[in-house]
Amino acid sequence: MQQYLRIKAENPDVLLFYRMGDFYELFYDDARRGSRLLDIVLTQRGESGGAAIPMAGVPVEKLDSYLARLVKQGEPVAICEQTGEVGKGKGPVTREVVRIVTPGTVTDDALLDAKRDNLLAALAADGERFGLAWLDLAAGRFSVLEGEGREALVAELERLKPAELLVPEGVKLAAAARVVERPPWHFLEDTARRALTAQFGTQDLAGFGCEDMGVALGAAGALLQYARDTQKGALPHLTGLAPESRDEALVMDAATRRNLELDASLAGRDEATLAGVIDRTATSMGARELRRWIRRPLRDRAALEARYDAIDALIGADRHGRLHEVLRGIGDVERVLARVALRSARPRDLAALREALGQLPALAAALEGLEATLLAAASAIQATLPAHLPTSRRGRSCTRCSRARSWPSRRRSCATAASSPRATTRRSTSCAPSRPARTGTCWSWRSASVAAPASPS
Amino acid sequence: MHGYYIELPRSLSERAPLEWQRRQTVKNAERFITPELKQFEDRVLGSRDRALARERELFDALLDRLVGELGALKRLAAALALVDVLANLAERAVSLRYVRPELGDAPGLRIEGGRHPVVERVIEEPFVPNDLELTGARRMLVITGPNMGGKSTYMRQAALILVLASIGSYVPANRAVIGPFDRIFTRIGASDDLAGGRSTFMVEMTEAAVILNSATDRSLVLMDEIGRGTSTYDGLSLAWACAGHIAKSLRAFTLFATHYFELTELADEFPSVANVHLDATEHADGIVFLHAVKPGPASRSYGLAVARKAGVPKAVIEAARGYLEKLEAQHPPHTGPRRGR
Repeated sequence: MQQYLRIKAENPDVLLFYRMGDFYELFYDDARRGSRLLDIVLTQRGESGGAAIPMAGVPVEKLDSYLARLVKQGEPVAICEQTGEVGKGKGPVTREVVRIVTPGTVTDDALLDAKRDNLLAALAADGERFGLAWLDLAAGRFSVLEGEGREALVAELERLKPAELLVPEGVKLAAAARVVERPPWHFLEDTARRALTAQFGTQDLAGFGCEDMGVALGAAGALLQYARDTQKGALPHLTGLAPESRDEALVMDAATRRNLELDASLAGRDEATLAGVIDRTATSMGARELRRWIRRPLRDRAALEARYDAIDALIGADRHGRLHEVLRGIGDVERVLARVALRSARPRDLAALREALGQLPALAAALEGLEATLLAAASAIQATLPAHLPTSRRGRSCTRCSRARSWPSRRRSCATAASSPRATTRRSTSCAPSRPARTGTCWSWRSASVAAPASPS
Repeated sequence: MHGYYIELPRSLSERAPLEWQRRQTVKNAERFITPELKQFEDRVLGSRDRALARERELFDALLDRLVGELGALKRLAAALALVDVLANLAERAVSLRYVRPELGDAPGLRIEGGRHPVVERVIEEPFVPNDLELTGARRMLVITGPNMGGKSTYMRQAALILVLASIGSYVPANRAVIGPFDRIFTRIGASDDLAGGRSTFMVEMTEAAVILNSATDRSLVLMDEIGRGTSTYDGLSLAWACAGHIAKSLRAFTLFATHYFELTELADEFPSVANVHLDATEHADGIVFLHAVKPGPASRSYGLAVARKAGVPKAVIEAARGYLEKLEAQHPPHTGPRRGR
């Protein structure tokens, strides 16, 4: 209990999910709150100072679904794991908080809407001027913007719809998002500059074109600090800051966005929105990109003409159907990469990445000969990938019999070469005897504890 | 009991070799282990641990390698998203019969055979396409016509076509020539802001204030039934003043839908204002909306016809008709507030 109280004292404002064997347990007030929010049984364990300790818990394998419910209700949760080895050393096994899940910093697929960005935003102000920074942690997209006046701020918040908004302590703001107050010094420009250049490994921020956005940089600094505090680790996928300017966009105020029902319907019918009519994308990355476009129409005519040219080329060569088919075999690479960076990727994430890379030759073939700038640039991407990533045809065929394999397939080898003696050495590229599929593709390390054969008694 | 053991039925258990150690007695059976079995057990259980540790180690190394390639892989993800969106817009353009917009330098918005992208998908009857012409010399259209006649759809479709063109998509029209725009404003619909505790009229005026303070001669402004939330004369005066201010000072491209007939006279005062109306025909048994936009002001109000279509009892309609005739005799309609006042 001492260990619990110490960890709880470090995380006073969040529900602490305390790992004990096969359960995450909540104690005291957390237990009461948790049992109310999650509708789980409130029980007791031992006693302290003569009074029983209230306790409630959820089984380890159900964590995701309970987290999803709490995140929807805007409740932040600290996950405290057993980090030492059970049974080794004296006293209780060592435990520590490995991450804090908040509505704006979610990266698990189970907790995210595939078609919408999940944004953490921070707001700083200097007189009438405001600076906004926002981060899609599950994609590594980090942007800043400055503007003037309350109406512009309301319009931008309506556009971004952050899940969580950081403001300096004492700032009162009515927002749909969960508003989190952070110490005012987190928003200082100088501190922010140092933290941001250290994060990006750059001398200054000039290369990102936001050198003179002091207010927004303050917000970005506070945001970075919060992201680090919650993730308890490095954020290698945050590699830069993208400044946005209101002047580049066709500006719409908050009421106009709602009235035009761009991606949310006043009556709650999503199919009766502009996004509902024009979104038939094949991947969730595409669905999110399209929604970002819809939420921020551009004024840059060259950029728009480039898009028209690409559409024109696709229609002219009748390639869009083929591309759609190829893209359907591609998972959410963007979010997989974020989990790789946060080291929370699971084997199925890497499998999805492998499938995606395997589709690249087919994608390049479907784009071949199209001269529109945007498409040519996209099809050239494959050439920029490191050679050892398995994107070539070689990586998709059997090295012994050169027969192309079709993913996704449960079989990992060609039947004709199944008895190959080289089988086990290079499973990914050679003919290996097909081995039984793992039980389920979602296979987490933590739950893979050794289960010794037990007797029936 | 955990681990591996040898089980013998009770009847045979007496004959177990001496070096076997009895571990557990269950109903009708005895369980034994031997030093050799114990050794194997340790290796089996230990090998699982080692296998898992090794797998974990390999997986971590793989993650390390991928983290080193994050930059290139992120660019790949961005390219995939881009191709997906473009292929999607191409498919939509073909399936929904959209055309490539023409971006012009001349200010304005010229649409031939424009359709509302959402409404044309959800209604069951065929959608009636409409033209729209806003140019440097023709900046405001005052739109009159019956309620439910399609004024609101006509205005929104202009904004949605501009939005679609500005995300790089083809647009639902036969032809669309689009000049430079900086902002879109709307004052559409009337809903009480229940949560905020503001009345319909307050919401309406707040939105109008934003427009009147910020619209420019490159903005597209949609104003639907402004002034409806207050008394007739207040409302009419405000609507007239708003429209006049936009036409004279802001020079924003504006679609101004109104049920105040008086506003159709704005066109006489400002050369940049034109009247259009949505058509309807009245039959003996009711009113039919044609949803087609025609030049000029609507010839009459269809309020009573709409009320009858909505099922208001005949006696009430007749009483209203009598009252209307009396009013029109007192104040000849369509004269508007006297100018200069």
